[in-house]
Amino acid sequence: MKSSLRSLISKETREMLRDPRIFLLMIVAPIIIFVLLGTVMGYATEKTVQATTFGLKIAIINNDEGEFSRYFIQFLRSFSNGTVNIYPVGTDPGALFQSKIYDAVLVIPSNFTESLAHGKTAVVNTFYFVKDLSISSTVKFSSLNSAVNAFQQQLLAGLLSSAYPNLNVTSLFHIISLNESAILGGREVSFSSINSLLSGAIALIVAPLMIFSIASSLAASSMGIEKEEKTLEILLTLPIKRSYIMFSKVFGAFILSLAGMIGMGIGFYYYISSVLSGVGGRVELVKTLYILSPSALAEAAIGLLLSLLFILGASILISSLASNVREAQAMTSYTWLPILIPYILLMYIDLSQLNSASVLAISLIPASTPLIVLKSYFQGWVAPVIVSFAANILYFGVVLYLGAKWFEGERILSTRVSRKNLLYKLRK
Amino acid sequence: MVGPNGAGKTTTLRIIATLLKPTKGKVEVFGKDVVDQAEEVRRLISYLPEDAGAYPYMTGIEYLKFIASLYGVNEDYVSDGAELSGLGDALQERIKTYSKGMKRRLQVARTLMIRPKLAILDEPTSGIDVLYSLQLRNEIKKKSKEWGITILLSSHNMLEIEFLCDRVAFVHDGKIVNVGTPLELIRKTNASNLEEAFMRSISN
Repeated sequence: MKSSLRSLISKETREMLRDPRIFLLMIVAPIIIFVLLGTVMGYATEKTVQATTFGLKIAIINNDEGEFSRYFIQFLRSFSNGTVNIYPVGTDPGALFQSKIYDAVLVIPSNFTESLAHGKTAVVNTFYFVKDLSISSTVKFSSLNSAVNAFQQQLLAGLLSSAYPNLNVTSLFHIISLNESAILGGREVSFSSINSLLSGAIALIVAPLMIFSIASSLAASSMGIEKEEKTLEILLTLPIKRSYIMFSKVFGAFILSLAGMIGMGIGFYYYISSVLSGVGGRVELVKTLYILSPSALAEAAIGLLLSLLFILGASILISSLASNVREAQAMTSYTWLPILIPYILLMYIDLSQLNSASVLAISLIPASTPLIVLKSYFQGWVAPVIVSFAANILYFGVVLYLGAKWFEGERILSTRVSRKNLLYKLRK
Repeated sequence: MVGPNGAGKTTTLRIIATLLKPTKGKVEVFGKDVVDQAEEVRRLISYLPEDAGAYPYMTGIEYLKFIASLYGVNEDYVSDGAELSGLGDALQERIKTYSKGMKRRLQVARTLMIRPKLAILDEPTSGIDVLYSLQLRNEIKKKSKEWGITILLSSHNMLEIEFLCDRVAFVHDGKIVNVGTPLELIRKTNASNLEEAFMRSISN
């Protein structure tokens, strides 16, 4: 590497790292946000689970007092860890809610036993006392529904046992068992791993998008500050290739983006771990990643880095039209929307439903290589991966070429695109 | 170059510094065309724009080293630059903490320390107080002689021009309306000082 290019890259990384706006907002903040979110979400999940475990406080007004209503009450007492209190016939449910003790009040109708004995539906009026709109409330209320379903199953089992004494009723409820496994990329893998991968699929889109967003902001700041501090004019008169100014900004921001990616990865891992630990689970990262072949993972990683380089190049080029950091960041945030929208769509499109030409056309979406690699791996395709890599190498090359030409020209100093300028021109 | 605002001084300096292309005519720096041989011209020149800035999170000494590395010159040049700036221990501080005068001194040092064949200074003492201006002028005069640097500068300050310049061009509406040594210009226009000579030149 030429020493002047090395000096420029070193200058870029040093300036960005020392700039508290960049360092805090783009490198430290995402880590802190994930860690805070993870801590809060972990705590909330734990509390929700606790709320469910502690169970409901139920008041039952038993207007029946028959055999089946007694079974039902007994069952609820054994099923729930909470409190089940019985109130006499004719108690006003409204009065029970006034006490604010109970989560739910069940009114067992007077024909409960008779209806069940004759195989008819018995309607139990149930009133929930909504204390707040939290997730734990919803979970609590759904646990009552589960209890009723379990009671019905037990009731059915009892009826079947008495009708068919020789039948193993318990096995009847699990008479068909699915032994699940999945074929992925020609390999048989456990279905739980696939579930784990699918549930983490959102990360496949969120992580690259966050990385791209931070990287484009970094690049925009790096270019914007050059204009804001009026240092570009001097740089352009120095005995260096002007294209080096562009290259150094791309690679300087690339190095910092990698640091940001590692930080964000740690933060994201902490976030997922915290949420899962709240429900007694844990992140099986290695197991989940193992279901992808090493070559697919390597291709996805290279695709991500290539896409990142393209995003950085485009952001530098676009932000060179701004006159300060704020304008530069605003411009890059608007202009990468054309990438963001197809990217999100791509996540939800099942490529196997499309014809070959459409798949190849989708592979041309800028910065989409990591997603194309993963989706193609599931299908065992090669062509879309090659097309996506070729297209994104081309895009990056074009951006670098245009950038180099733009920096060689004289208009880089004078051209300024801002909302004010555009509105003025439109009015004219 | 002396001229009123909008006369074309900065535009001319920017053309010579290879930042702008001339719309007409040809500009050469030591025989090198500023358009066709821009990279070669950049090896011969060092340009100080009127409102030049420096990287706020670098220290003064890091900035001088950074510039020296791009010109491919050794640490001796950086030491000369540090001495020329007169910033002393402040060179270890970040540039964002500098006053306007300190920044200007650093910029003048940056421009001259690499000993270019041609230093282009656009209003080198603009916006700085009398004391610093005097010190800077003395340094510019001394170092340009010591290091054999040709200085091309633009200024509104006639005292500065008389003190620093061997040859002066009065510029008006994009044209040189009078040129010569300060004394020649005063004589040519029957003026009592350079300021009057300038006024008479542009009113003609």
